[in-house]
Amino acid sequence: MSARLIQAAGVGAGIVLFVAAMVWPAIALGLRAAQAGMPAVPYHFPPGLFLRTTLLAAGGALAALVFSLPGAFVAARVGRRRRDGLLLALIIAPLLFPAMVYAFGWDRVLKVPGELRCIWVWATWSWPVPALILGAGWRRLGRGRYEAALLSARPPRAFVHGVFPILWRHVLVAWLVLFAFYLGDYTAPHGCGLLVYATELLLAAESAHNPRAALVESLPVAALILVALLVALLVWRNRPLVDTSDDPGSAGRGGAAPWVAAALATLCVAVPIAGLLRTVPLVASVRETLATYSGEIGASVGVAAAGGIATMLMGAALAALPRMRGVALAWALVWAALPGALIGSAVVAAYLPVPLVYDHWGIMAIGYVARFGWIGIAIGVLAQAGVGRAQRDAARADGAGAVTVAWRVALAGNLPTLGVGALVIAALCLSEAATTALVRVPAVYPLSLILIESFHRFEDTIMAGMSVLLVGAALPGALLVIVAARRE
Amino acid sequence: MTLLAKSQVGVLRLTREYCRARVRMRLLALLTLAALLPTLAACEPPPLTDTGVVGVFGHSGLGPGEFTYPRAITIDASGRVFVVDKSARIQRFSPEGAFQLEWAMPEKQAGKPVGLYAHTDGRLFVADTHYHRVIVFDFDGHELARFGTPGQGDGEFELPTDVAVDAHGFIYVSEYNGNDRITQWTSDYKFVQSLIDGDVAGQPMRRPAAMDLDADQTLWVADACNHRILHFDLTGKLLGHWGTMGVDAGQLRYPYDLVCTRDRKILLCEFGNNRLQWFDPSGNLQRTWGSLGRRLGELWAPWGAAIGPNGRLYIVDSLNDRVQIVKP
Repeated sequence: MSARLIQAAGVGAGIVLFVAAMVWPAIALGLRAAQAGMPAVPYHFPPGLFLRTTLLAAGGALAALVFSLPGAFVAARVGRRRRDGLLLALIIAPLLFPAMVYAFGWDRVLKVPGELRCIWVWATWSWPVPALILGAGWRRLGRGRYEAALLSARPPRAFVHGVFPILWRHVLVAWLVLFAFYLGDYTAPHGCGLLVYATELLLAAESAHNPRAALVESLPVAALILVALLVALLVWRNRPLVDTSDDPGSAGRGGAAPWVAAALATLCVAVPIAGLLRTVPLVASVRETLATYSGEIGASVGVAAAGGIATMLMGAALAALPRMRGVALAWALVWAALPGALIGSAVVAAYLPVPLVYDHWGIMAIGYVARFGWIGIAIGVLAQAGVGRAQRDAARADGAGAVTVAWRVALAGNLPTLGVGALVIAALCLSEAATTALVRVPAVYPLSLILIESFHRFEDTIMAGMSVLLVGAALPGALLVIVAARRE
Repeated sequence: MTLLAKSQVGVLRLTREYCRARVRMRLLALLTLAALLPTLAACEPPPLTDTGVVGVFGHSGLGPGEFTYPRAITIDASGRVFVVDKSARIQRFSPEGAFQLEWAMPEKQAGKPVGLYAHTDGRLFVADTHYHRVIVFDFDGHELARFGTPGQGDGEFELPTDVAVDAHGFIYVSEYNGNDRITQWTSDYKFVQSLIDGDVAGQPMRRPAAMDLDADQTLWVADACNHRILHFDLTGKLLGHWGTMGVDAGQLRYPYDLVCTRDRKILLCEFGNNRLQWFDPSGNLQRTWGSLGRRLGELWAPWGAAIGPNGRLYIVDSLNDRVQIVKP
């Protein structure tokens, strides 16, 4: 009886969280935008800024694709050798570190114009994403042709001539996903001292306090992101699924690619961190940061942890509802395409009239669930997919319903995965800036905003110390990912 | 008839006496009121809070009288209040907080000003921080002059934060970003010297965020990122320094503004501790005001404070997008 109660309470809480963080804010934003008067300053679409943002995002996505090729090769070999899984986890883990840290670090070592640095920061931070997408395709397609091409050409040429003609859809999808993400990204351009559309959008959302203004100004970039994701989805659905490789079972020879990938992953993290700490002693910077912001760090980590747990609980609960799973994931993915500033505006619009939420840390946790809910739901759905048919059938034969099977078999069996998910999301919450800037409350001074503040004050010591702390906060999640990969 | 007449006369007399008495009373009341009028006019409305807040103006937005993250304040000799916010607008208000006019900085893409200074001669100095210059306006927003070019040499600025003017008309400008110094300029904007530069009491300044001159014409500087206060004479000689980083009363965390009060106290506006603190010139704490929050009497990341000729304290309550008026 108590197990049923826990199940019902868990599923109920997840649904309530979903509605509170991802449905009601959307409705409230629409309602309040309709009620709100015209903004004090009429909106003028800035074509120059929009074009610059688009070109930057396009360039960043292209650079990340180039960087991702060795990693894609490693991802393609996962499952063939144990060390490849470990290597892949090592490659993915740095994604958890905040982009801002990369931006500030590269700023110290790479003296190039801000635009080039921003492209570099994006590419060196997020290349594991296209590596995973390309690797997933490469695992099934083109391996034989690539290996045949390797007999007479070096790996880059072999890839271009042997793999690219088959995997062009995967390449396009990876480029579109990155392009969509960079279009709405605020932190990396800001860290490179650049003004992009997301910067203007955040400023407008913070200053106008008019939902209509936030909504109208978000439309161009949100529309472009949605179009990019829609095209990516259509291309992905039409990707060839039949293995065209001549020798799919071959283990393949990678040459230097795995080592290049490992070196790239290490350098992409080590160089910016070393850059940050070049002029500032590590221990002294961490000590000063802790002394200056001890209270804020505790509160910020606590709220981020609450956000991570709540997001994962919501994802797990929704994934346990077979009828709701698909709709929730689709809604969450559309919601995820919105710029962070608009999500923050929606949450504020929803809870401004509710002082019990608006004045307390709860609104920040809701903001984090709204921002990263798609990751929670995706992990929950993946956890469900990992349960074998035999296990399901056995549970059903014992009289369990679909929800009970999903809750007690799939989720209980994936608790470590869900725990890692919560840690990963908490790390992302700590470094999130756009939504956080809008949902922040007096009692909690978020670490990401302290980092930005110290960047503006040119406080190298605090910046370095806070960056190290943020990387440290992401480490448990990263290590667990690696440990999980090693066990597998 | 006679009796009636007599009684009527008596009643009439009584009524007349009564009326005269009433008129006398009214006259007396009017005279008393007239005598008290100046006193009553000077009387305060009761404070809005038990913390002494007597007024508040501004709320979030981009319209007239609205703020988006106000970051600097100054008050002219007639009590008019000037506030600059993150939309790069300078707004002028009456001493009671009624909106009067606004104007925008000539450029704002690179960043917005963080320092204002209203001189008694009618010049408003704006530290146009991210354009590495100081722009001088009159109080109606007409540009009078601008000085400084980007750089770290003589006559150049690197992110100027604040302006002060001494009794002889010399202008002092503070800067940061590795060029943390205070330079001196003539009244007609000619560079004189780099007055305070390099190590001060064992370490270089880190973001001197605000300056003020006291009645003795000595210069007080809020060395914000070192969480300390520096005291100089006008030759740049250090007269004293105090302040330790912390959250307890008497400690400092990011003092972003500093005001020398008429009673020879140093008022500090602490961005990091969301409060004001008054010290004597030796650094002994006199009193504190404010705590973190959104309600009246509470502050959220205050950037600046100024005292008007009426003795009222105006506090830039930045993240609450308002200015609170306090009877100190």
